Amino acid sequence: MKKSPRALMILALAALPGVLSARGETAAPEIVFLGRETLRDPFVSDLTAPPADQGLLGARLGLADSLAATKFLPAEKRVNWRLDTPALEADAVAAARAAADHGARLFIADLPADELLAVADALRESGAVILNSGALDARLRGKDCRANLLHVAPSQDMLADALMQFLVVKRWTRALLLRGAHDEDVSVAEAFQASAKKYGVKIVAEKIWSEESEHRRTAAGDAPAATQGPEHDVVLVADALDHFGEAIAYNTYAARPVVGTHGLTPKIWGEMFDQWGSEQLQQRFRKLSGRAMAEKDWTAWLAVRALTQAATRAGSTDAAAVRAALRNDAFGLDGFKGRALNFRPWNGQLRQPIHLVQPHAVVSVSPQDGFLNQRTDLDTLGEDEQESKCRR
Amino acid sequence: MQKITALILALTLCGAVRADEIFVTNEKDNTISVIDSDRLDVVRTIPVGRRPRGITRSPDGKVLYVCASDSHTIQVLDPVSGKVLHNLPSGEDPEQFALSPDGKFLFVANEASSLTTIIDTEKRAVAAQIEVGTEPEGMAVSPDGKMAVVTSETASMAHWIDTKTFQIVDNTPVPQRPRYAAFDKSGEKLWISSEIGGSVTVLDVATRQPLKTISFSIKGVPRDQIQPVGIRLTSDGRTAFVALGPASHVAAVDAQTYEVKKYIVTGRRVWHLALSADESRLFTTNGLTGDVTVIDTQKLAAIKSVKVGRYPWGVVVVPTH
Repeated sequence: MKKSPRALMILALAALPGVLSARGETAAPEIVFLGRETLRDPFVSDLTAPPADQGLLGARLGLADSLAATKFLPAEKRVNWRLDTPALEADAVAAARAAADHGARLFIADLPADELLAVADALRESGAVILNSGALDARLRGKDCRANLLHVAPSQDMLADALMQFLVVKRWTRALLLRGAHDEDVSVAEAFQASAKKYGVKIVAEKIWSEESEHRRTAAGDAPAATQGPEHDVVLVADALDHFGEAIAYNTYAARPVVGTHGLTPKIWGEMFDQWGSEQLQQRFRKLSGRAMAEKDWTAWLAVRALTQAATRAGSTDAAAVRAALRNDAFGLDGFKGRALNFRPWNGQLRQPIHLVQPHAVVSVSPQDGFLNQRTDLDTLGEDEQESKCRR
Repeated sequence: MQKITALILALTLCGAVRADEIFVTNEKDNTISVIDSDRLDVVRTIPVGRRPRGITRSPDGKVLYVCASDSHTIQVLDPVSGKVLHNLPSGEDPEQFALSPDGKFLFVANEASSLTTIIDTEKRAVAAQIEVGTEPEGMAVSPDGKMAVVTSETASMAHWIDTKTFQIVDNTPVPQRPRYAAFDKSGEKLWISSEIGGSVTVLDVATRQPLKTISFSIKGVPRDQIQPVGIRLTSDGRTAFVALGPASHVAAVDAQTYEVKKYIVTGRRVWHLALSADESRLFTTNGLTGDVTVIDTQKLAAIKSVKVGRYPWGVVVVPTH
């Protein structure tokens, strides 16, 4: 659930070899992927930095999987999908408009929330459908929701709920919250606090990590003091930028597990997850990319699969038909998480299990047993219909 | 007194039920557990290659074939000695397979490489490789040996392969993630389970079109946890048993009306099934509980759970006398 920092200077993902748009075919239906290279925060070591091309490579695997499926269909039903990955200028709106001008209506976006909203609004008149594969912000599913925007990426509060359910099951219900001082840390900490309240986990104290000191070299000195506080069962870390979280586990004042953005972490996709056939997906991705499948690779891969499968189901690649098929209650997407996945009608959020991960294992998958909802237990993660502020 | 009763009961059972051995592949143990059908207990454990999954036997019962997926080979086993006789060139990552009725050709789903490999079991050589949809899984050969079917999990499709020419002759879309295919005895119908679709599709073999889609509903089990995988059809054409994955039940389906007759509780995450030679017992592999549920096919009730290795996957019955 770490957020990948993005620099102000834009590194465009130029059309890469193998991307079909380079061939200049215009008749084939097109999926446009709007994303940028993930830039490394200078503070974070190269050894642990997230891959720069995450998302893009996931989308490319999604395209390969979809083309492999369609080639066995009779000629009249075959769809020769193309993936367009335009270079993004200062903001993505111009690229989105340009793609829409030449007829594209199916978009996947891995963009920050404000930019995503600007793209959604710019494309509103065109009737395009946009799948969000990156932004976790709850407001995109709440007060800032858009009718043409569906979310394959889970929201920050779904991730927080997945973790809190696990803490409740473990009866580790007293958490000492240690957060960074950046806005990103605050928003993660707020999601943890709201979720803790929802599921009955008590935040016994909230402490703020100071970046004044050279803590990476003195973690052993700083972490114990930072984690000293009232009696607690876990240290709950909110370090969205990966500035100090890694230094906390095994350096706490008391012998307590570390959970949150570090330690045991709720993740969209655990790169070592091998259940429900995902070993095959993981291996297929590794073969294509030469690295492990990151969270945003999974969301971008699934977004492409969602669009192409909805088109197959609708019997049309027209955006309105695809959107209707995506939002059909009977639509069930195979995300290799062991459940058929579909979108919540009230806010366009894809329902999905969340992996609880430590670096070398998926420890558990939420929703946890016993957390019930009138529709599906997947709706115990994130805002339910009655709480939703989405009006569209 | 109790002991005498038990003894009489045991003797009666011996007489009534033919003795079989049930071979179960343990995906995360690299072993096969062998269950004796009289004792309903594991009597032997056989070491095999890495990640053993699909398992089947030759028509004469003299050899067993085991997909050792991570060893990228098919092992040929003597079921009596438990020894590996030789390996077959299976192609990468063999998962499931089906043997032609004459025992000559093995049709193998190579899950990781989107291929079907056809192995000549006598020459111990690859006869052909066919490109199929992503993640091929279910595999079946028609009783007359003329048609093989492979299901592709990601393409959600059944590919029909002519066994003479080794060419795909048709493709039938089916609900999501088709896991298993089984022809009925007449060869007129083909049953395919769809794990994420949550259903079983019965296809008319002549037209290759669906006749019926069977869905399932179990009180107290969320709909999306009902994930059909293994299928076994009784030879009288009356019953189809369908393993429902994380729903941890087997459905007994009337193979004529397609109505579910009963749901039978099993261990957790039930995947594959096998019938005893006389079809009085059904054996299920339960991955998460690491056991095999033994079901009485007349009473449609579970009678015992037998602990095996870690993540039991495939199962085959070998008659011993």
